[in-house]
Amino acid sequence: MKYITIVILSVAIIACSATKKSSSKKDEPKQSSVENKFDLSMYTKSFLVALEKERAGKSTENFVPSEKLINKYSIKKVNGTYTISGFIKINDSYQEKELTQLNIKTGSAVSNIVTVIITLESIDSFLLINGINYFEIGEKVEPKN
Amino acid sequence: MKKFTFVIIVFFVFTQLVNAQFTNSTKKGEATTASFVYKQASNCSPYTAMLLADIKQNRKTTQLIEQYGLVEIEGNLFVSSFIVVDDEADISQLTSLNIEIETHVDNIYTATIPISNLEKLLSIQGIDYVEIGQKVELMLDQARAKTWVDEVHSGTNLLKPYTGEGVVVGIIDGGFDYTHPVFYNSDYTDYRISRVWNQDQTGTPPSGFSYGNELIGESTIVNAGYSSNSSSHGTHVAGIAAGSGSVLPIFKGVAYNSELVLVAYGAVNSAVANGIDYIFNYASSAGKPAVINMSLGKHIGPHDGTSIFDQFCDGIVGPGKILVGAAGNEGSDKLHLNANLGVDETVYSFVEFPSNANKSSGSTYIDIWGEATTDFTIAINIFNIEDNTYQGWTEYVSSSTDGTYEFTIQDPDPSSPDVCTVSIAVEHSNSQNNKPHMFVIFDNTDQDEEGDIYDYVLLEVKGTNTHFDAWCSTSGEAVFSDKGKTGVTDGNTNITIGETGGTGNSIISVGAFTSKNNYVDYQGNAHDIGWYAGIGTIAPFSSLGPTVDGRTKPDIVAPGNAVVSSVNSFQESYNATNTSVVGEVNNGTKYWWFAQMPGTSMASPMVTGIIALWLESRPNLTTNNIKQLMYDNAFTDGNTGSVPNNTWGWGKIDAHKTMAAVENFNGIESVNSNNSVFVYPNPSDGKITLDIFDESFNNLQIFDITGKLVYSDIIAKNETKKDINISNLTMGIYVLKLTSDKYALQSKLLINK
Repeated sequence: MKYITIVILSVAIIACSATKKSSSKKDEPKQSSVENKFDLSMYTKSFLVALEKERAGKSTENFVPSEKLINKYSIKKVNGTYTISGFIKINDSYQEKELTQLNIKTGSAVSNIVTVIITLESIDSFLLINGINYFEIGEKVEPKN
Repeated sequence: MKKFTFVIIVFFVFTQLVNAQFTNSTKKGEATTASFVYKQASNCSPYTAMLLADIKQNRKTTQLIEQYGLVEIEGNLFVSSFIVVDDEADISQLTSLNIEIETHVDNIYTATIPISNLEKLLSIQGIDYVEIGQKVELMLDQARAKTWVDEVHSGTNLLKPYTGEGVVVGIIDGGFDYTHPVFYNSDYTDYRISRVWNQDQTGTPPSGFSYGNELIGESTIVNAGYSSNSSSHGTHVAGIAAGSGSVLPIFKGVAYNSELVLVAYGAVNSAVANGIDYIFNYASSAGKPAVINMSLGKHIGPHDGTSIFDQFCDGIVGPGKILVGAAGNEGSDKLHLNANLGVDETVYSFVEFPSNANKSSGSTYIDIWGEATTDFTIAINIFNIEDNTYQGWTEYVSSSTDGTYEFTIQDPDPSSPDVCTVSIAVEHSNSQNNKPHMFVIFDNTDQDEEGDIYDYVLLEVKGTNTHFDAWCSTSGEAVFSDKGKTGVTDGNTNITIGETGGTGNSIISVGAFTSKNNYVDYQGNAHDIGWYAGIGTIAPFSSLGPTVDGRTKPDIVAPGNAVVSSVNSFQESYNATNTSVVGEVNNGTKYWWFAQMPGTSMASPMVTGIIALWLESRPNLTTNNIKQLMYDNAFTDGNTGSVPNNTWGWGKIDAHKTMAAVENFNGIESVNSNNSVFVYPNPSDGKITLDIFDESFNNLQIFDITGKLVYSDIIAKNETKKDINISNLTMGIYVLKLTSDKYALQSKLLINK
C-alpha cells in the first residue's frame, strides 16, 4: 500500500510539475506496412521501413542505398550488388531453389536456422517465399573493450 | 629455424606502488592474512619482506627469478634495490656484503644486492629502509598467474604439461596482424595460424560460403599481412588465448601450442554464426576439438537465450565444440530499465548521452520487451528538464497491435523548430518467446539553440499488472537517467550482460576482474590503468547478469583489467609513444608491439585458452561438462563473496584445479544435458525408446545401483532409434550408459511398474 502511494505521488509530481501535454500537439503517426509471408524481427521491420522510405516507391533494381542506411544496417556491396545478411527459420515446405532463383545465398544451417545473404534487389520477392517462418537481418555486434 | 634476432626489451623498474600491490594480492590457497614465515624488519618494504620469506621457505630459484625479477650470475641471485641510509651509515660495509652501489641521490642509493646478504643488510646500523625493485609484471603473465595457468603449462601435480597441443582455437574478431611473432610456436619454427576467413575481403570464399576471402597456408596468410589496420582488437585477443612466448616469454598466452583459425568477422551476428560454423567444420575435418572466442556483443535482443543467434549456438555446440564470449563492458552503464507495473501504472525515464557535450543530443535505439500474454504502451516525449515542460510527444503506441510507426516530434519554437524523428516497430507476440516487443529508433540531434540542451527524450511506458525490460544503445553511449527528477526512474546496471557473448545457454560468458592496476609504458612512465580498481576486485565495467529468464551470468570471471598482449603492427597508432604500449620485439627493421587493454574482451580469451588446455586432455568435453567442472573448481575469496552471483558467476577461473578435475573426469555426461540421445519415457514400465542423434555410439549398457551390469546391447551404425524392453527388471533406479569410441554418456532410468 505504501509502495502504491509512493508511485502515485511520484507520477503526480512529474505530471504536475510539467506542462501538461495538450491534445493539439499530437503528432499523427505515419504507419508503414510490409508485405510478407513470415514473421520478421523488429529490427528487420525497421530496416524494411527505412529501405522503403529511401526507395520511395521506386523499383529495387539499380537502387543505391544511402551511406546512412548502409552504415545503420550493415548493408554490404558484394560483386557490385548491395546485400544484407541474416537468419531465416525454415519449415518443411522450404525449398532452397526458391532462394537461389532470387540470387539469395545460403550459408550455415543448424537445425531449422539458415544464414542467408539477400540482394536488396530481391528482397521484395524474398518476403513472399514459402517455407520460411521467420526472418531476421543480422544485427551489428561490437568488440568488447 | 628462422634467423630472427629479436631485441627484447623488458622493463624492470622501481616503484612506489609496492605496498598496494602486496597488500592486495592473495596467493592460491592462502587466506588473505597469511601467517608470517619471515618477521618483517621495520626497515624494509613488504615486498622485500615477501622475498625474504620466500627465501626462508626455500622456494625454487626459478620461481624466485620469475616472481621477483632476480638476476642469476655465476650461480648467485641478485636483486636490484633502493637503499635509504642515514648519516650514521658506513657505506663501505655494503661493499663487504658484495653489494654493488650504482647511483645515489642524497641519501637514496640504488644497488644490486646478493639475496644471500639481504637480511644482513637490514641489520647494518644506519640503513633506514630497503626496498627491492618490483618487477614490473607485464600483465599477461599476471593474468596467467592469477588463473594458475603457469602450473598447467608446467604440469605441476598433473599427468603432463598442457599447452593446447592438438586443439583448434578459433577467434572471431577484427584487426588481426597475421605477421605477429606470437603466432609462431615457441621456438619460432612453425606458424600456427592454419587458416583465415576475412569476411570483408573480396576473394575466394571458403567452401559452403559465398563471400569473403579464405587464406590457407603460412605464406599466403603472412603475405596478406593483416585483416584491418584500423584495429588491434583481434590481435590482442588471439595473443591472450593462444600467443606463444617465442620471443617474449612474459607475454606468453594461454594455449600457446594450439592451432589458430581466425575469422575477421563481417560486423553482424549472422556473419559471426557463419564464422562459428566455419571454424567447427575445419576442426572436425582435422579431427580436433575446437573452442571459439567471441569478444563481441550488443544489446538488441531479448536477453533470455531465445534470440536466433543463441538458438543457432545451441544447435551447433557439442562434444569438443565450445563457445566462449565476453559478458560485456556495460557494468557501469545504466543502459537497462525495468519495472513491474501495477494497475494502470506509468514509468518515465530520460535517455541521456553521457559522452556527448550536449547530453540530451544523440541518436540511438531502445529495445523494449514485455511479459508474454500481457501488453504495454509507450510514448516518446521531448521534455525540457529546466522548465519542466513537454516540448513534443508521440501518440501512445500499444504492443497489442503489430505495426511500424514513424513520428516527427517538433518543438514549439516557431522560428526554428527542432525535430526529433522516432520510428517504432511493434510486435504483439514475438515468434521466439511470445513476448510483446517494441523496437524504437530516435534521432534527437536537431537542437540548435542554447536552451535546447535541456530538451531530453523522455520514455514513457505504461501498463497493467505486467513487467518490462528495456535496453538503451549498444555501446553504452546512451543510458537511462532520472536527471534528478522526482517521479522519474533511473536506469540500472542489472542485465547489462550482452547478447552474442553473454546471454546464450550454450555460450560460456566471461566477466573481468582486476589483475593489474598499474603499469610502466614503453617510455618508462608509470600509469594507473584507466579503470582503476583493487587487485582481485571485479572490473568496474564488467557487465552484470542475470539473464531475463533468471539464469546466473556471467558464468565465470577471468583477468581482464587490464591485460598486456600483442597488438597490430600495421595500426600506426601503436608505436613507441603510445602510452598503452609496454614492450616490443623487432627484427631490426620491423617492430611488433605489446600493449595493455582492458575489457571483458580480454577476459574471454583467457577462458578460451584455458578451455583449450582442458580439451587437450579431454577432447570430447561438452559445454555442460566444462561448465560443471569450471563451476565446481572456481576460486572464491572475499571479493567474489558467495557464489554463484550475477557479478562473478561461479567465481574466478582456476585453470589448474579444474585441469586436475578434467584429468579425473570419467567422460560421462547425463544424456539429459546432451542433445546426442533422447530417452523416453522415463520413468517407464521397462519399455523405453532411444532416439540416437550421434552415430558414433556403438554400445549400450544398463547397470543397477550396485553397479552390476543387467543389460547390454550393440548399437548398429546409423541406428537412430532403438526400443528396449527391460520390464523383467525389478522396480528401481538404473543407470543407462551409452559409449562410443570417443566418449560416453549416462543417465538415470527409473522403472516404476
